[in-house]
Amino acid sequence: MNFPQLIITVIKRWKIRNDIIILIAEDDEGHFILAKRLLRKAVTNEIMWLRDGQETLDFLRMQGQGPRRDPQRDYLLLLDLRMPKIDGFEVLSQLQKETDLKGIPVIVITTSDYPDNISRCKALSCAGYAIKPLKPDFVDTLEQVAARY
Amino acid sequence: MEKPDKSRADLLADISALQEEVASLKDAICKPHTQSDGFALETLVTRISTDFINTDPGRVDEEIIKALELIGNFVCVDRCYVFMFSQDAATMNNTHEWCRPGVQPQMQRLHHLSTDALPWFSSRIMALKNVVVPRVADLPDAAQAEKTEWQRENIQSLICVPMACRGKVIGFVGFDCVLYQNDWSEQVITVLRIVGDIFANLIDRKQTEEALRKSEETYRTLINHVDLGITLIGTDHRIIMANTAICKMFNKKPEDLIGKKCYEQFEHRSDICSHCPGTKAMAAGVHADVETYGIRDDGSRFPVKIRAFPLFYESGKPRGFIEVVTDITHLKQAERTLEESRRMLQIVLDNIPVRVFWKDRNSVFIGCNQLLARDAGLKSNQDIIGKTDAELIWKEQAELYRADDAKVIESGISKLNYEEPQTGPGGEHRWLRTNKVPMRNFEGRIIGVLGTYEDITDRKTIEQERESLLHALAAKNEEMESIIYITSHDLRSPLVNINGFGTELENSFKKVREFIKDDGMIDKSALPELKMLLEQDIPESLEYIHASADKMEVLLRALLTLSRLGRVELKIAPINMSQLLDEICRSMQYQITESKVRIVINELPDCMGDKGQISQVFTNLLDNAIKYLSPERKGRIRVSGKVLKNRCIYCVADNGIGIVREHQDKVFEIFHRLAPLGTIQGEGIGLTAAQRILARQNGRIWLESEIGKGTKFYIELPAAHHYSH
Repeated sequence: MNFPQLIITVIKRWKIRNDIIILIAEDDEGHFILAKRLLRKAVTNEIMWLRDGQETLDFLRMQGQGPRRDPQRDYLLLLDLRMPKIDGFEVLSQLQKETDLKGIPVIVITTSDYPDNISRCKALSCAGYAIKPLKPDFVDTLEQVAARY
Repeated sequence: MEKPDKSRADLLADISALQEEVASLKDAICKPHTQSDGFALETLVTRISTDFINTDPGRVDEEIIKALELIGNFVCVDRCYVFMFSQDAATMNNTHEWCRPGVQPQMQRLHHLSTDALPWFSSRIMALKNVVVPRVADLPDAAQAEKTEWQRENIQSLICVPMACRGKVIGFVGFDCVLYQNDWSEQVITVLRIVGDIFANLIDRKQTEEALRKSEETYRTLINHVDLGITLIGTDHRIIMANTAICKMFNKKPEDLIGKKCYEQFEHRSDICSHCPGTKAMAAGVHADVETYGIRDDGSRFPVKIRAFPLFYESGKPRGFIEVVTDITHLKQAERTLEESRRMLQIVLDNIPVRVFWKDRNSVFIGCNQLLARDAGLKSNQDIIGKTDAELIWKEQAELYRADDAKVIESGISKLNYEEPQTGPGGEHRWLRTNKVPMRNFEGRIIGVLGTYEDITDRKTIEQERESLLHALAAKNEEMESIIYITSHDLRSPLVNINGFGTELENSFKKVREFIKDDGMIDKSALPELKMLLEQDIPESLEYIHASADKMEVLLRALLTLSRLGRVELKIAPINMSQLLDEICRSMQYQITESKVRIVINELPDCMGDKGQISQVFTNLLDNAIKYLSPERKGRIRVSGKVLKNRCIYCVADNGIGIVREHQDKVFEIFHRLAPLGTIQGEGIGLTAAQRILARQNGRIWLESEIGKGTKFYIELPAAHHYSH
């Protein structure tokens, strides 16, 4: 896993494959709306909202009452750390344990820039890390991660 | 000019006359005395014995030789001699000799002869028999050795008489004839025998006196060289003898003391001392001891120890006593110094704020100081001697102490500065800081263990209190920190929204402005987008901004409430819990009816607490229970309580959705909510507040829960007074 150090100022905005579904795991609606709006300006990919850790795992594991992952499609997960019931760390570590899930790139988005948290996420193989509120350059991060797909 | 005027006949006559003269001369010289000379013999003997009686022992040898000469001449012998046997009679020594002039002296030669060399002779002498040999040549074969020896000495005839003293043969006196043979007459033999006896006596006397003199000298030397004062005192208490030491003690000369009264000289008294050991000894017949003071002429006193030995005549009558006097000045001083230092040691031991004890190799106490005796509840530190730890009030620790003692004694290594427990006089638990070192005697052998300890119970108690205070402080700090941490995060969330939507608002207005042309007109094509902006985006942004600000307000208010909980003054009083719960239910009537929940309140015991705050706690719990009801079944909440060991334990039980195990600890965390925002109302401080409140009132809260079944919250508080039993 490479953590992006340089942000490349890119004019081209259509680098990311537009068939990848972007999942946003976020318990605060306001945060979700902001993220969605930001992304909408840059990409046309489908965006899905998962409201907490439990819903996220259920979706990815294709279990539970709500929507389920489509095995035929590719996904990219934007993951908030502070969520009730099951938090972001827990979700990350669970994903690592499942062979068909650990390939899904995860970018952690959170209010905290606490170094311990960052290194913890790195240890759990997250593909990227961004601080809320998301700035426009977040899209570059997104594109870089997606590019490795 | 010789002319042969005498005739041959005359010459012959002269010759025969000469011969006759010679013969008579010879007779006169050599013939033994006849009976008529018996009187003269007796006179001789008498004279010799008289002379000898008065002889000074120093002149005995002279006198013997003189006597030998007298007898020799009288009896007409050629040689007279005295021989002495050695102590074991194995050798004989020629000690005195008189020879007629012209006769060869033999004494030089006759020293340390072996008596076995002349066995025939020696055996006869030893048997107190006279040896009379008229003719040496006629000696029997048994006396071959003697014959050989005497003929060598040219002896023709001899006589030897034994010298005996007190039945023991000490030697013999002998008379030799060299020139002719002698038929020794009875008279002569008798006289010689008597003389022999006289000599024997004399020699014996001389020897005895010599021995006595030597013995006396030995004793005198001894007495005058010892360090003890020795004095011989008579029954009249006059000093008979005083040795060098006692003279030195009293600074006197022997002549100052001898003949004087002992009580005057030694103690400057005018009469016999009442404590006189001599008097006691003579009365009792055994030695007597006394300690008193000697007084010198200059008035100085010194302590003495006197042992008096009585002396008795053969009749049993006392004849005096010997005093052995020791100057014990130094001894007394040493005793005093020892006593001083012993006392000093005891003072030190009893005053230092440390317990000191010492035990032998078997951990039996041989001493201790006052402090330790007090610890052990004993009246005096003497009472501990002979006891072991198992017999004292700290017998619980006896094994432990004994093991430590043994280790120190075995290894010879001190155990220093370690802590150990001790049961005190009231049965309380005390802590000690102890040292144990091995005790060695002068030879370096370990004879026991010496220990000291300080009572550090108070210090330890303080330490322990400090520990727990520090812990409490640390816990409090942690709680504070986590509250701050959690709060700052929880506040960030709405800020992100305010920031984010603020920017969105900015963008929206930018776009609106772009649509308004310079002339104030708007393009028709832009209308749909403009509409969306004005009717959707902008209001939405504003809504989120307001909601977030409100959220922050709520959070901050909750925080304030929580912090106030710590500062508000508590009014502790007995609380009628049944009444309280009724009040709470009435105030929550609306929620209860709305949620269609059934609440059952059992009979509740009264507790001690602040009514307002306890009310908050139960309100929170009921609130939560109602909020987290299960949609699958009819909600039931039961409130019950019981008393256990003067504590009240209440239970708020519901059949709601329950709490998963991983979250059960977290529920008390500030702002923690089990459901995402928006689904269930509440700032999430209820349980944190409850925990705070109860901690302040000496109570606690905990839960039991099973996911899908329900939750039980337990509250513990001190029971109201009238319940404690």
